[in-house]
Amino acid sequence: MIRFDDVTKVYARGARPALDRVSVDIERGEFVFIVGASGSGKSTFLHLILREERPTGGRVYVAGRDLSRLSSWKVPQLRRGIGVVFQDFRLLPNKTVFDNVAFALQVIGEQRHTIRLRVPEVLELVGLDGKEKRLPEELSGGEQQRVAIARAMVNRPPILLADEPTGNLDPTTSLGITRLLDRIHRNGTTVVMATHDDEMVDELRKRVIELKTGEVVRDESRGAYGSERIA
Amino acid sequence: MRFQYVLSEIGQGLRRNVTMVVAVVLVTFVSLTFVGAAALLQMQIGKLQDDWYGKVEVSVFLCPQGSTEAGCSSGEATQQQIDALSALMKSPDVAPLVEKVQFESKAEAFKEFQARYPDGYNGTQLTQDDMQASFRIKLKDPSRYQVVADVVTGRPGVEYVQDERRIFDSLFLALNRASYLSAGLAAVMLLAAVLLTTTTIRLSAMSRRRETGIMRLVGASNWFVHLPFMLEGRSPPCWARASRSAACGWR
Repeated sequence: MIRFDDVTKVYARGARPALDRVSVDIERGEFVFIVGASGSGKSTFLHLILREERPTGGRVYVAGRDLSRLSSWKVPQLRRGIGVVFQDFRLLPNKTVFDNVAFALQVIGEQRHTIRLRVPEVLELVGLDGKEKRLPEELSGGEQQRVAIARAMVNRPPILLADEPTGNLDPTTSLGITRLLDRIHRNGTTVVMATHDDEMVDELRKRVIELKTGEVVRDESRGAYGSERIA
Repeated sequence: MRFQYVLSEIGQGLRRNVTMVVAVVLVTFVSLTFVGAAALLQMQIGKLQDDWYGKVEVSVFLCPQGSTEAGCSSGEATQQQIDALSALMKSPDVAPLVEKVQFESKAEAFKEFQARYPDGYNGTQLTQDDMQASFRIKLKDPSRYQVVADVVTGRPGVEYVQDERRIFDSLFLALNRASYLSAGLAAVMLLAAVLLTTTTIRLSAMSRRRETGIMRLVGASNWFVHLPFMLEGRSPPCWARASRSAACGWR
């Protein structure tokens, strides 16, 4: 589903590579944690999948497409197949929960009846049914992240990328978000999550790819957050 | 759905930047008014020149009695001098430029004067001897006046040559300057309108940075992300144009 083939990314000439000759294969329907310290290349990894950045060397393939050869006008089509969730939720403060989620469909030209059908469905999936008319400021952090997940999933993408989705949440709320993402994964979505949340990684015991100064130092199925815990 | 969305985004953007929108409309309206005024003035000047220059003539006034002009030292123009000038008008140097030549004798000039001033001029009663004979020349191209004037000026019996166009020159000069001033002001105002429009678009894009960021992430096409800003920036100048056209009674 996602393949990094000897990928290097250097942001500025002479600087240390953000990713250094990374080769990784992520199969359809996998749940993968990308872990590592700040600056280890986790976000760059996700940006390359989204084609927000181009690799300096090597190739990135998503759903069989070589992103290095993907023309700019085809990038929106690629992104319609990828949901994204961020640490800071990135909701629109002047729109209700329903409108925030509907926004993702409106801007790609979906019909009104499709929006009326899909938005309540996805809000129910994330456990926010009944809160359609609330504004983001009226919701807790966990609920706001659920809205962000609903927005990422409303177009039913086969891939979900999450960049530190629990970074702003307390442990109990994080656990709820973790379980929600696991449920989405069990429905067939490929999930790639960059995280610092050791409890989340340890709870789910999924594949863990650890990056250190841009290099893959660990790629372990059913791994834990820290390598010392594998015992 | 998309069209509706774009319209609602434009509406929201315009409401958000209402003062800037009013400024753009006013500045564009004023600048277009100046552009229109300059264009109309230039058209009018051209039309007036065509109309008036077609009617005016070059007058070659012949020496009257007692003239103190240098060319008239031998006294009043003689018949021989008049014949020589008449022949000059038919010479290859002058004839191709001339459409019509008419000789006006002192008697004819006096008759004309009497018809215009039956009660005398400023309380004085002039006689035929106070008049001066002249050639009235209508040129094919009034702008070639100087060629004719150079040939005729200084000839025996010629007191002076007058181009009636000169009478209008100061008027056209003033009108031309007014139209250039108007065009200059229009250019400055148009520049201001362009800068204001650019600023409006940038402000609008800045205020919706989060929104456009999300649009890109969820796969909205580039034109769809940019269209509301482009249309939002274009609408105030369009309104100004429509208002200006309405104000001028143009379609």
